Amino acid sequence: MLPVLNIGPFALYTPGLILLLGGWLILQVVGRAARIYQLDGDRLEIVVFIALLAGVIGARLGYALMAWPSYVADPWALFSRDLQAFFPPAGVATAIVIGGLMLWRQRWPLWPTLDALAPGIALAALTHAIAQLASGDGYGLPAEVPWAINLWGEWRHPTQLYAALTALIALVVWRVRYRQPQPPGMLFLTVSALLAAGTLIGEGFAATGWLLPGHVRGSQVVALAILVIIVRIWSEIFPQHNYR
Amino acid sequence: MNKTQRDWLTLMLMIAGIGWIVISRPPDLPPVTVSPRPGFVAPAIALPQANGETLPLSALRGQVVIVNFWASWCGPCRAEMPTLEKLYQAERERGLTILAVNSTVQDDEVAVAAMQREFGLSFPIVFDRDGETGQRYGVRMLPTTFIVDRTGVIREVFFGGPLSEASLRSVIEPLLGE
Repeated sequence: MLPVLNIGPFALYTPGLILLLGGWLILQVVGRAARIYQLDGDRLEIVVFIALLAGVIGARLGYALMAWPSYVADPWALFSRDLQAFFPPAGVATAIVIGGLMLWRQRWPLWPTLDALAPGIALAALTHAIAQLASGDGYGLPAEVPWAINLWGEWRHPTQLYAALTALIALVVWRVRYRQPQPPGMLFLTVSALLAAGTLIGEGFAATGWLLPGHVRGSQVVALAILVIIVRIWSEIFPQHNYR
Repeated sequence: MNKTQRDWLTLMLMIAGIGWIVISRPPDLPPVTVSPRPGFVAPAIALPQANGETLPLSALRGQVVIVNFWASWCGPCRAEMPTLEKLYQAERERGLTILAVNSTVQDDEVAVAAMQREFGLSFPIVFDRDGETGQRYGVRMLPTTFIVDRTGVIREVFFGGPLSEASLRSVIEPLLGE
């Protein structure tokens, strides 16, 4: 856990640095993947960059909306340097909506584009997991398993590492399979299913997170819903053809 | 995969998924571990004020406490002090207090007194002369601000600053209502 990195007289907020680096890597990976699928990599990089930027703005606006009386009284606080004044789910939703709208208006082919975005999604999950590891957020429940890590005097599930491992597996699967003949969209759905399954299982050991009534973790419910949707649409969009 | 297979797979997935979600629900236990992190009991603070009297954090139990680590030479710390004072004046009746922990190990008490006069700071200021409390709180950046609820549990940590009144209020308003 290293939330703050001291370099000489400078103190840098490590999760912020990791997110910046992750954002840059996502742009690079998505651009290259797009070229593999004969798409315009430069244009897709621009779309993803705008979506990421919109995500940052959306996360700040989402945070402000949750505490709107405070921000109505002091609207300039929207532009403050508070590094924690962001609501990530609102940022993700904004990035998806803005990116999706741009792709739709520019008439990008749906499934090949999603295949090109798949490694970016896996990389985003990996970046999030490493940023959480650095900040110490998203830690696990107390555990006695051999691979438990000692956090603040207690042995706990390394839930950030579970999430990072899931994202790495998704990235490796994409890397191994991206040149194999397969119907468009299959890689995107495979990567999404792996991330959702990893979240459903791994979050079961998390001590933090968004709780629904009944102490049910919201992230697990969303992950299960994504898995069910993927199973339902899989056979619809991939009729049994031999692509080899 | 035909339609029947798909339906079965969906059903099995939902049974297994919902089962796991229910089994793995986090226990509803009050935090007992002491650590400078959200969700944990705040580490003890017992530091002297300028008049020599020790003000322990435990004496403020029952109030929402903003524990602010700062130094007089730190620009963002200076910039957020008026905000903290304004908030303290506005909300102290509702049970908000501020414990300003000066990182005296890297500061000068004369400069602290001058700054207190300059900004008209009325909340308690304590001196961390050996830096031990800052170390226990894992402070590696000034300012670092911990929001502690009425039961002594840390609910939010802000690294860096200056903090805006809005983001402080977004955290303390629900806590003042608890």
